[in-house]
Amino acid sequence: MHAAEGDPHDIGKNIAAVMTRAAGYTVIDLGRDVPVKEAVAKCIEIKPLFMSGTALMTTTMSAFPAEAKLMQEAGLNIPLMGCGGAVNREYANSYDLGIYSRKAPQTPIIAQKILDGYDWKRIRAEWDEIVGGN
Amino acid sequence: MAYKSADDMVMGTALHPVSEGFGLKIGAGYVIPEINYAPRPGTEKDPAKLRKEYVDYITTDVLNRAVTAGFPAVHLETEWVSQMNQESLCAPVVAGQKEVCEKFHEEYGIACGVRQTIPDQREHDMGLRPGMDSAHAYPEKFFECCDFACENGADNLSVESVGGKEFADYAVTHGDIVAFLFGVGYLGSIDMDYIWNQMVDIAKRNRTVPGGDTNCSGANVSMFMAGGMMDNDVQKTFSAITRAIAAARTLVAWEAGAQGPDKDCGYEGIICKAIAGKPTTQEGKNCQCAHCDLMGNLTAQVCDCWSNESVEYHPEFGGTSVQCWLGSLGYEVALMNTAIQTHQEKTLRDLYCATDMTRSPESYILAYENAYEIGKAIAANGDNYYLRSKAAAEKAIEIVEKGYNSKVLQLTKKQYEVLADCKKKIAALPTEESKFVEKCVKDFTGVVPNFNMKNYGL
Repeated sequence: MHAAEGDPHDIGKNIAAVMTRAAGYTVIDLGRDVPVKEAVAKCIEIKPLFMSGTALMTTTMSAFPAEAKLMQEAGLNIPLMGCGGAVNREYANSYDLGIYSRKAPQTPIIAQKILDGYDWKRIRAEWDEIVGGN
Repeated sequence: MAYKSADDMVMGTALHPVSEGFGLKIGAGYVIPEINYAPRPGTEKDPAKLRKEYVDYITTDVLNRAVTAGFPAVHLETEWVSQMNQESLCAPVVAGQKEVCEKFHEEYGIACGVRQTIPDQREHDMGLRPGMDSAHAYPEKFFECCDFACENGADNLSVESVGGKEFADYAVTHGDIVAFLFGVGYLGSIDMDYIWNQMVDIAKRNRTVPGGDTNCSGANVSMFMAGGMMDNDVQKTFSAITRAIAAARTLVAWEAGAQGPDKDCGYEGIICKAIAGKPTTQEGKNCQCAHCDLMGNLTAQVCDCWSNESVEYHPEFGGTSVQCWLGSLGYEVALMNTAIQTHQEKTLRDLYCATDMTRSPESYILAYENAYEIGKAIAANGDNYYLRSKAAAEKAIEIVEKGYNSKVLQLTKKQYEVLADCKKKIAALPTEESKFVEKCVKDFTGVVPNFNMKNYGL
């Protein structure tokens, strides 16, 4: 998990991290204002179940498609969850690997589906059912 | 206190009005719409794109719509995106907005100006003071941004500074009112004093109006997380108290020489106006593009500028988003100004207030008569940051408790329990600042992440 490059707003990410840990997952918290390359390098190193990023500003969420591109170039096909006040479902679904989480409690629910073998395309397709239509 | 009584406070008039930009007189007898916006994703990638977005699209659209709808004055607010900490990105935007304002003022006579709100990117783990953050040099960049803004034509210099944010995050997520009091009320005030004295110097050197601050990272986060009627993650009695504490902190900008208007999203401005008599920007029912709150009408009661908080620039049926939300603000402000011109501003103020006063404890403490009482509690403790923050919290608790006991204000059982818990914890605090600091350092070291007294010069 990380707050996007240039974005200092991290309380939502911190809450999502707590809730995801409480659900039994190990969370690697990279902090806030994390450079795109640094976030991707960590993913390549540890090959997590998925990566998530938060952004509260319209101009920092551009980090997510940039990260997704680098992840794909490195052969990583894991979901990249876009979250935060500036992000909406349409944006998070606008680039390959992108999935959306609207609220912190949805993150462990979606994580469970990824653990069950759902890829980013299936998460997108079944998002309403997975998070209960909200 | 700037005002002899709460009833002396009205919308559109401040004891110390501010002139800025092209013909703007804020707090001089009329209310002004203040429109705030965010550029579309991707426009930050190069200076030409960002300038075009802010200047040719956003600013031009805003002023075109203001003239089209017949609004006599508009205040624009550019909250810098993080990439604008580079001169190549921010300077063309600031200078370009100034040029467009001048053109519209000359051609149509509209009074206008731009508040440039610089980003406070300082990180508590790296260090808040110059020389501490070797990775990003954010503290140095902070003051550079002030220079860039003012040297390139900012009409008003403002910020939402982050001193005490490490404690605010902890306090809100753990329901710890003492942590909020120490972090925002005490440490946050020290940081405000540090940055605002320098910001005022920079602004004055460049004939820019030093505006003000708001506790976005504390009081606003607290309110946002407390949410609406269906939310219970943060209790609204807790968020109401944080707002009162934030007023004691936000006042420091004006004590350092800032002139106003202050900023809106922490909602503490009415308390500060009661104390200092400087103009305040407020937000409420016409900021639904940014968030929902429980005091949409109430916060308009004594505002001097009326804001939409922020909206992403994009097309809507009625024009671009900034045009639509300016229309929403502008017509509300027209109602306020009509009330002023027909000497009915106190009636409208009281209607705004009565509409939402009992919707939540947050709105209850901000009802102008209650806000005035909190202001008195702060002022009675002079420049002691700890005691005045503590007094603000105690007064807010007393007001909410009285409202509940008199059956004017409804509270849930949980809200009341949290209120009682906050009261108990604050009552147990020492009256001496040194003992309070000693206790907090002991209690929070190793508990609150990134707590470092050196960030505050201590």
